[in-house]
Amino acid sequence: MLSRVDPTLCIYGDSHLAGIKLALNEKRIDPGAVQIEFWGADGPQFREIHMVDGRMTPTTDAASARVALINANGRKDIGANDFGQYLFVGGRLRSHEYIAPMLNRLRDDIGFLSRAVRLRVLTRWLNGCRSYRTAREFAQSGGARVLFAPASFLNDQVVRESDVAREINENATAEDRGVVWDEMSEAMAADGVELLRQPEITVTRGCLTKLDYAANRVIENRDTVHKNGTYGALVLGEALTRLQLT
Amino acid sequence: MQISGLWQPKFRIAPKHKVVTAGSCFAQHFSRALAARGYKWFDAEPAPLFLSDEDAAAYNYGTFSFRTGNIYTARMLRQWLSYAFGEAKLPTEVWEQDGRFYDPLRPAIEPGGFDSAEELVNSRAATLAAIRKAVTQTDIFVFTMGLTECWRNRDTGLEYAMCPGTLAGEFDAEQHDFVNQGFGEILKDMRVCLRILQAQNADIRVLLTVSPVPLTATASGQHVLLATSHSKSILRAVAGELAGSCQFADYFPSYEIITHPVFGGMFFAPNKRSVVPQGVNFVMDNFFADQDATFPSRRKRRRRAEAPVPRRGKLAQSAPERSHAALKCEEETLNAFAG
Repeated sequence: MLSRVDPTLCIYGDSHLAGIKLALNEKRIDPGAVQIEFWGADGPQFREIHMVDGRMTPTTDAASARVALINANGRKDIGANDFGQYLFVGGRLRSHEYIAPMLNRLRDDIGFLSRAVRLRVLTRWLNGCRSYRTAREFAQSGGARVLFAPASFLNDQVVRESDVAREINENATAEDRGVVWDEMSEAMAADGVELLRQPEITVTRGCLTKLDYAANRVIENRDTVHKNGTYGALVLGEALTRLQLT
Repeated sequence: MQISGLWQPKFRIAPKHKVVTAGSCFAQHFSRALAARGYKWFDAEPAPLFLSDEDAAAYNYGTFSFRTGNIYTARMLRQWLSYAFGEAKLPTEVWEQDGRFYDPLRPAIEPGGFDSAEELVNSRAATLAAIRKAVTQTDIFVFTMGLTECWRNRDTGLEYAMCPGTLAGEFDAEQHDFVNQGFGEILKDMRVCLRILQAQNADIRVLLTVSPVPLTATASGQHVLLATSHSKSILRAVAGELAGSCQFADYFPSYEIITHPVFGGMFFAPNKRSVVPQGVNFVMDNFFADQDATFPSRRKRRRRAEAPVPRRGKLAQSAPERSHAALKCEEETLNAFAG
């Protein structure tokens, strides 16, 4: 069922957009009549996109070139009302940076934090990310629905095992993760942003992503972050379901 | 003004040593001064990543080595150590006010109180674990003695961090007793504390100080000036007694440095109570100078800014890793979008 309002969906982000695009390229998901448009930039050029007069705008030639590569329609900048829906993907909001330490605290008897402290940590983490601030502004100033899928947990078998031993609570359960995701979802909802959490099926060893969902050649490239089209299809599928666009 | 040789330290405190600080508010200055000079101030209950400095301070992280808040009296220190090492049963008393829950042992630890009694208990358990970690792993335990006056529960004997009804709780004259602890009682409590500390860590060294900050008010009925003199005299005498009789305990004279007439009150702020930063610096300069004089092999360290708290764990990328990551980002994007 198409949205009664507007079937346009802008998928905004950094190199994490690749997994979603691959899902479409590889026909792992059928978006139907939804008009999907990607917008963003990868690598350091993502940091060269800024809010200018209420529109996200590349501020260097290099960033403009990356936007042109990602956006097939030649859209140079975007604002809150350009689309009916927005899905922010990655965008430097790295879920492992917040969730891994929170889960790690569970295995330490000194690790307990009150809810008030957790919320302050969470708020600062969210608001410290420009993409999140953009999502919040779009949600609050425009008529569009705004979803946010933070960058997923790091890739298993690529992260150094010494780092895993120190920073990953391998005994963390889905329930443990659920508590943290729930608080994140609640905080985002207060800003008008809807969280898309990492699908549980993709999670392994407490707070890592199964290698099955990692991008090609991640071990060879020591790429701890990027995901493949299978993962992208899960994210996009959940977004389309949530938005009732399919 | 120059003065030297006030202190002949019993033991060396070197940058390599872990130092725990606890006690009344003046102990905070020790924490900061040690960290600023590159010493290993032991933060056994550190603030979580991403918590702002302002929020960390508001929630009493990084003030002392664990989140007890101020420990003003010897009995309070004894209580905390006894609870941490299982020598006493944890109190069940919780203060509830307007749907919020306050810990009688540290009612100001969370601005606005805890969500529930369960959260309060869990948070306190974390602090007790931090005390265990601090005591068993530290080299030096600095305790600043602050007050003799306190409030206790008549039935349970529990000593409160502050008078019930001040910040939370409800004062009940039938249940809450004012106690002005005397020399013998404080000495006994401190001896128990020292026994626990050494039982848990045979190599521990204890450095006692007395807060030079005078009382703002007293419940003793005396004039506050007399009450201050009474209180500080007892604390100073206990510290001296312990330093004189216990091999692993020493006394550092921050109290004398700030309050002695030779300095003419120059280290007090205009309110005649707070100690100005110059006073704290003077105290700490003496601390390090006297350490150097007694242990000349101590490697001098230049004062340096406190090491910034890492905002991310090791999983965060280094600069070369970021450069490599940028290439990977480009590869992924080209693979997906430049088909």
